[in-house]
Amino acid sequence: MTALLELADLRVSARSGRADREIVHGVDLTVEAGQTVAVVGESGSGKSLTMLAVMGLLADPLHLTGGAVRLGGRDLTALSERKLRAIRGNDAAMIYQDPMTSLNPLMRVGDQVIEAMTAHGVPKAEAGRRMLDLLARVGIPDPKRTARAYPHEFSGGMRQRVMIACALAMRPRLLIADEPTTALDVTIQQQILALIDELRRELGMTTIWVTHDLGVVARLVDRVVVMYAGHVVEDAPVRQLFSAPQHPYTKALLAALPDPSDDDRPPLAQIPGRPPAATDPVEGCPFRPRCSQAVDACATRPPLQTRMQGRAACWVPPHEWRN
Amino acid sequence: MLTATDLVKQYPVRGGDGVVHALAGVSLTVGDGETLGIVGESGCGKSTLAKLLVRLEDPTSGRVDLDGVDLTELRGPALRQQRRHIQMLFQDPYSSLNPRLRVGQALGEVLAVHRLADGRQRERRVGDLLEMVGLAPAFADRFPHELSGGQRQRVGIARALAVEPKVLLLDEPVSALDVSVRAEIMNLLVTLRRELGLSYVFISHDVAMVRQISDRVAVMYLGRVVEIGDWKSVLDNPRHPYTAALRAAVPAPNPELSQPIEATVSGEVPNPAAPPSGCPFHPRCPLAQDACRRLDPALLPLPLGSGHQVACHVAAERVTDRSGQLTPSGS
Ligand SMILES: Nc1ncnc2c1ncn2[C@@H]1O[C@H](COP(=O)(O)OP(=O)(O)OP(=O)(O)O)[C@@H](O)[C@H]1O
Ligand SMILES: Nc1ncnc2c1ncn2[C@@H]1O[C@H](COP(=O)(O)OP(=O)(O)O)[C@@H](O)[C@H]1O
Ligand code: SF4
Ligand code: SF4
Ligand SMILES: [Mg+2]
Ligand SMILES: [Mg+2]
Repeated sequence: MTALLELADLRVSARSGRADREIVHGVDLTVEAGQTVAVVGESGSGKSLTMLAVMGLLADPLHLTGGAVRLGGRDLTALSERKLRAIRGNDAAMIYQDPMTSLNPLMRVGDQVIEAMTAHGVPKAEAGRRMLDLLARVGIPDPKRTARAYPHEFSGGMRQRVMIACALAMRPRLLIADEPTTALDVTIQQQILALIDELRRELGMTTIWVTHDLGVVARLVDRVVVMYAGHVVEDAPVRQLFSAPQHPYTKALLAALPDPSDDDRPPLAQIPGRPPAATDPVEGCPFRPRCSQAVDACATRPPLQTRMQGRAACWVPPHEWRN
Repeated sequence: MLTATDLVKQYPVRGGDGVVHALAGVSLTVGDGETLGIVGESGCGKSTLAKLLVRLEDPTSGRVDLDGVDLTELRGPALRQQRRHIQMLFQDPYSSLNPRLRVGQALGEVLAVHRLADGRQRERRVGDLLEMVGLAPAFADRFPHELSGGQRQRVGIARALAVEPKVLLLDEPVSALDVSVRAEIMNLLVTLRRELGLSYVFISHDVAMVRQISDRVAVMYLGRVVEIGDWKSVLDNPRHPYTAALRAAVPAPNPELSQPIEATVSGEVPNPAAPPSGCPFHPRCPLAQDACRRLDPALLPLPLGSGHQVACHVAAERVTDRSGQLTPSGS
């Protein structure tokens, strides 16, 4: 397998006044071509900023302060905005939680799908034909008529379908889906997950799912990357992550989910303390203030190291964990 | 005991004629110390129901009784007095906390308005309330923006508890919270219920959370209750095709179940301003039959009893007409 996407020591900061506050603290991550990976973490852990950095979409006050983003071997951080624009949509595309942030409210949806193609040099007439097929493929009823509607005339689920049509119009090699169903109803969530998953197989796309919900990704991905306070703390094949978590935070997150088959409904496991702000200065392991396994060594930050089939950033291996 | 009888709420359609049928006749009861979970998708009328139960809004028709007192008839001081007994907690406590008031002031104000304590006593009560929801006394000096989401939700709960209510209406109380914080608040709600003997109406679109806390569960669709009963029989042995679809759509956090994700129902929730004929679920229902397109099924006990009721011709094994039942002179 070859690496399609490589992040090496990726750092993102926010300017505030004259100072820079680092928010993403050096993410190392390799995604092989054809793989499906989930990036999981609680809100504020830096998932979206990492993905925006991949797409070259960080906007002031956010900016890249270090590291590399290589897509198909090419370092994107060195490219001009014009060259990036040619890559965005064509080689890599992103779907967001709120479709309204990427759909233009003043433009008919059909025209937006067409524009996603003409921007990359597809002739207008061909783009028009393909637009109707795309809308039909993502499950928009009566595409000829609905193409003329504006986004506000659509439900959240239908808007998400339009955004998927825009994102996939150029058959990108990499798709990043950032919480694409969080704002939707359960039955609609499932329709959208199933649709993206189907299209991913059909187009052979490498896919990154960003989510705060471990339940959603269990059945969708090959691998899970867990982020905490702007760090990757674990990265493992999905089965291993659920059956043998190698980081205390992963274990605690899994325990906090209710077991849908337990009739006794015991209290949910809690994680003491509160989630950190990614900008809180931490010395040593970022999870230390909440970790039930912490030892003296944890005053030094643990590097990501190989654990079974994956990697974890923790000084204490699971067989030494106290209960 | 809190009882809702045939609650109907219609809103005029904005910029047009016609009405939105936000609630199309809902009846239910919540016993003392009982938790009724209400689950359903966006727009099915959950919040409307909550607003009618606390009388933030008046129903178009129907009534709400608390311990035998008809709340819909009350006005003025009598209403204020009764309202104390039912408190509401919203999804985002931020929007309901005054940003300029410190936590202690906000709680003190509630106590003052209801003349529940003053002076020293008030201060002590504020401390007690904070302790009840697991916050250190020092939190009294914080402003809302200095609190995390979970802490804000705790303050919201403390404020609701300040007036010593009998019933708490919880409208999506954990939906905005992260997994680890959600666990904390769910556990806190369970503890408080036990310690204070509270009744809850727990509203959520999240079936897993409703399963975690409810004694009984009502499933709503398009302004009605389509299934109601004991939590276990409704959620683990659902009889209405919609409940079954909702249940199946909950992602199991288990990678060993690696069949591909499949949509369990097609289509979207219909517009409540133009509800379908017959059974409101028929356009999306995999079991729909001819009768379903014509006749709106009544909510009826299942043949085998146990208080489990369902509004479905197929599940109830008999074809009924809800409107015919409700107005015998009608169709
Ligand atoms: N003030 C209002 N004016 C007009 N229509 C309204 C009003 N309030 C609610 N509705 C409509 O009534 C229906 C039920 O709304 P309600 O807020 O009770 O839904 P809900 O089940 O709480 O949904 P959600 O899960 O999105 O909170 C919806 O179609 C809604 O658009
Ligand atoms: N425009 C911005 N300016 C300053 N800080 C930001 C900005 N956007 C996000 N942040 C901060 O960066 C952190 C990580 O954000 P984000 O990547 O969006 O988290 P996630 O997607 O994991 O929920 C958060 O603490 C957030 O408050
Ligand atoms: S390094 Fe130490 S503090 Fe960090 S997760 Fe491991 S045991 Fe806990
Ligand atoms: S009454 Fe008919 S359409 Fe309605 S839920 Fe039952 S089977 Fe489905
Ligand atoms: Mg995000
Ligand atoms: Mg609501």
